[in-house]
Amino acid sequence: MNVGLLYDYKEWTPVNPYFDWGSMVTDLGLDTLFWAARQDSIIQSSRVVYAEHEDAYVGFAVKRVACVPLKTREEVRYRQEILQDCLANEDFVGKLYLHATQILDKWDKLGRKRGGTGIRDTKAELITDLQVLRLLTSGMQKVKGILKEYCGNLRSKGFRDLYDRLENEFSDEKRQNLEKILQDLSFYTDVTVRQPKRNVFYSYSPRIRMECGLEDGLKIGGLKLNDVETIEKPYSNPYGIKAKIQGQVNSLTPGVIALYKDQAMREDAAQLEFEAVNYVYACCSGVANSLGQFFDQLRFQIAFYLGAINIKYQMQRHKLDYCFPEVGGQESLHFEDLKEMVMSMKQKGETIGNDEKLDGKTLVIVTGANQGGKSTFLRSIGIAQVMMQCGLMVPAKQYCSGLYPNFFTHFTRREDSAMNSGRLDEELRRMDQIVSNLGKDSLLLLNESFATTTEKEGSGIAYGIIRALKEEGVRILTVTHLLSFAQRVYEESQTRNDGYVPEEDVTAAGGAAWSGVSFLSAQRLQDGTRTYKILPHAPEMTSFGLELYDEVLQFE
Amino acid sequence: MFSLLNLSPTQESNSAAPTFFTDLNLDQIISKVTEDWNEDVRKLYEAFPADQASEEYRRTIYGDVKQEDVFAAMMDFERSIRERAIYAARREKAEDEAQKQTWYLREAQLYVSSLEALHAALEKAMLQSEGLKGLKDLLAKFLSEKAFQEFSAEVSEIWQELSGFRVTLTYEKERFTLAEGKEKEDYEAFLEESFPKHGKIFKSPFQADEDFSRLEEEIVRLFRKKHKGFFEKLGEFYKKQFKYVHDEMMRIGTEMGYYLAFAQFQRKMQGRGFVFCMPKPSNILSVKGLYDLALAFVNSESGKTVVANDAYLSQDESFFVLTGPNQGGKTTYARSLGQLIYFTKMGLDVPAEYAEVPYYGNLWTHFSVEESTETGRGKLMDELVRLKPMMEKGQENAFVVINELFTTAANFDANVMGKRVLEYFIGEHCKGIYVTHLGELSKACEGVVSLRACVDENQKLTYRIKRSEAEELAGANQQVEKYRLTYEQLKERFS
Repeated sequence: MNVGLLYDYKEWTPVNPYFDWGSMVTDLGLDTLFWAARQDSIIQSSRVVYAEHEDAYVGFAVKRVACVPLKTREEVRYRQEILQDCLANEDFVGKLYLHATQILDKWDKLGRKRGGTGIRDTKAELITDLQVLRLLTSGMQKVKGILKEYCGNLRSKGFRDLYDRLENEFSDEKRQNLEKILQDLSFYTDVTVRQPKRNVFYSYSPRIRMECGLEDGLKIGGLKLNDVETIEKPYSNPYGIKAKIQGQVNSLTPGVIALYKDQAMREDAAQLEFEAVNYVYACCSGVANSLGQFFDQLRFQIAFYLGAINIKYQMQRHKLDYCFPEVGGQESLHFEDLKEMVMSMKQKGETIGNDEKLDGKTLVIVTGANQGGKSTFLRSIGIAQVMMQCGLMVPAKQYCSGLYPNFFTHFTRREDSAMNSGRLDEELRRMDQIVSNLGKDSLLLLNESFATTTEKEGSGIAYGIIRALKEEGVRILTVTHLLSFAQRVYEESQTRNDGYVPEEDVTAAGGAAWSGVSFLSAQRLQDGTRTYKILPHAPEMTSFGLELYDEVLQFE
Repeated sequence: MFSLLNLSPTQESNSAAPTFFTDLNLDQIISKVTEDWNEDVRKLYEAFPADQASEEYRRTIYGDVKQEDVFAAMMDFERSIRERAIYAARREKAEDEAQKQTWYLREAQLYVSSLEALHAALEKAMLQSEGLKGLKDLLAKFLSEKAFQEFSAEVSEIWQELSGFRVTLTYEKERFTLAEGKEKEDYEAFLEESFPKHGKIFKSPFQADEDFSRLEEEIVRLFRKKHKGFFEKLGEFYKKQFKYVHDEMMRIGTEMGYYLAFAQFQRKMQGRGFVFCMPKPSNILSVKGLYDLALAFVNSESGKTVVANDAYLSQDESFFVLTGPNQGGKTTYARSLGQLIYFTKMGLDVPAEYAEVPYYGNLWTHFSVEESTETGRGKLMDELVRLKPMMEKGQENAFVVINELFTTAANFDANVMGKRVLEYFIGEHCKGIYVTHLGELSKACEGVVSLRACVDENQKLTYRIKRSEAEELAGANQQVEKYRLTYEQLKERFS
């Protein structure tokens, strides 16, 4: 029984995640996104009012799902459709999540997470297994009920298929069979002495019929279960006078073996009873396991959508427009009013959105003023890409891009860009790992890479690596201070356009390589004001750091 | 005397494992190979067959054993023999006379049917080896004996009658009720319908214990009353005590274990992606994709693989001298060569993709004891003492594996001694490998082939062993080049 709300064709498994998810989370600041996902939002008159309660599991689910990128347009559409259903039926999602959580909690209380390695009492385990089966069977029935209640409002393929699948794979007939079995075995699971009925105590007792033969060493073998059922009869003391008389009668009847006062025989009977129940349960265990997996998957998968709803509220609260991104071809990348989600949520006041048309640009080089919003711009694309690739909406009016399952970030964090060989070594090692793991449809975000050495050396390294990667078909977005590098690429790409072939061979070859390059720059007005807009602009030999220096230090 | 192994008479009684066993880590391999087998089978791995012809005799048998049908049939036979021993023990322990008799019946039934099954399987198979053809004839002879045939008919008759008994047991209200015959009710059918192909069986809780449970006692008591005739027949059958077991078959069963244990192990390793091949007799030593089986096993447990290497020794060449950086795979290479010779001599498959191996009269190894805290002199003495028997016996045409001799001696001394050792063995027409850190030895004398454990351009160990002059490689490269991230290196990486 599959839940199938994350993929059309399979259940959730954490395979093929991003190559270095840990770095991506740090570099893009994604933890804030997962924080947003786990905030239980309570809405009053269309304003978000917070509950104190945070559901860590929801954040966990979103984080896990986000780390495995989707690979096709269909996969993304599949989740987007389900998410649209969820957004339109929030109480439905809440109910389903609550129910799955409750079932799993009850299961835990029945001893799912048994710790320790002590010897377990197998009879107790069997009883627990049967109780769990009962819990899951009735739980599943309720899931069907919830789905039925809302099925008129659900449009997505995911939910519709789930509904049909449960009708098929957990049909009423199947449920009735399970219930019959649980009823037949209830003598084993339930407290034997029942509530008094008209002054008489009733008890459950078994009636088991089986066929057997004599096998090796004349021992009982070749068992075949004819029937098992629970019978209800008035309770009588097994050591009372009535039992004694019955025992006497039994011992005189040919073909009858009485258990009365025969402890060894009583043990044999108990063992046989255990084997019979164990056998019947074993037959159901496949169904029991798949029911268990179903609830695990259901809680996890629904938690993802619940997280998405929470993220939506956080976006609304921070006045971020959102849209469902469109999956375009591999060359496409354009957006309108794209904002950096993480920073927008952390900062008060509105943040600046950017519009770009970078379709066909396989290399984007961003240069320009310090503190001008370059890194923010780079991150905004990175975050949107991660959100899109797990089926979420993105903080933009419009967003269209290809899918890049091989997505890498290579960020140098300002604070540790000390100029020493150890740092460069570390940077190069990470780059080496990235190069080794490149694949089809790779996207690489470079933020101030190779700034841990001199400008000249760094530029040389960047030139070689970026050119080779670009020729390999990797889409690269880089924010850089390495102006000689940016200049060189700019000149070479220009010469190609006006037909001028420079003298040096390397440059000539380079010219041909630099098609589809876009140069962007953080906007800086004449008076030095930063608008935090990123606009097309040829690289300049200064990043106006001196101005910033003056600005910061002018009062001293 | 018919045997599947053809041991030389002197070696048969040999009790201690040869020294190369531990040096080549064969003790680890063999204990894994014989994990599920008894001591008698394990012992068979400690002695070489009598001569070159016997090696070939074994090799063809092993070739047959690898056939799926033959392997399965022989495994079944083995299992029956072992199972039979369990029943025999139970028979001896049983107190109830009728129970004793049925254990005996079971033993006999197992033996007869396993003999028939093995014969039928060998009859059906396309056998290539003299050994298994011989076994097939032997089985045919046993099965055609008149007394044996009569016995077998009697066994199956009583057996069938016993298995025909059925009884229905009802457990209800503190008592069991017994009735003979079958019932119509069928809960199992309901289960099968509800959970198709669940594949579960209703086990008897009493099977594990050979003694009667209280319930069984009662059931058998009721049975005995009703079927007096059957139990009388069983009693008479037991009284005859016909000697039906062939002692020769028991010994051959153990010999079969030798092949089966290795075939089982080989299948397991092949399942983990390691290759084996049957070595071809030849004048030259030529191996491709050779690896250390002990290391491969350890690595495979954690899903890792091993580096495989090649080896080639022409008729004029005698000795490999292997040098190279520490931890570069030298010892592993030497071990894998030793293992190659061992498994070839044992008539089994070898851990390599392809192998041509000449016949060697014997296998000698000499490994330095690592991390010894002994004084230089003490260790050197110890090494020479261990070297002595190898050089005294003067075995022509042996394969010799020497790992790091004279490490504690002064360089000059070690060179001279090493050269003498090489000259001695080459003079005795021995072949082999000598692992050393002394580069000079690679040019010690005629017939020496220099091998080197390689590093790549970044000075990283590759564990590849190649023919090469002993030499040191250049120093450190620039950081970018180290990570192979220059434009040219990247282009190369992508191509």
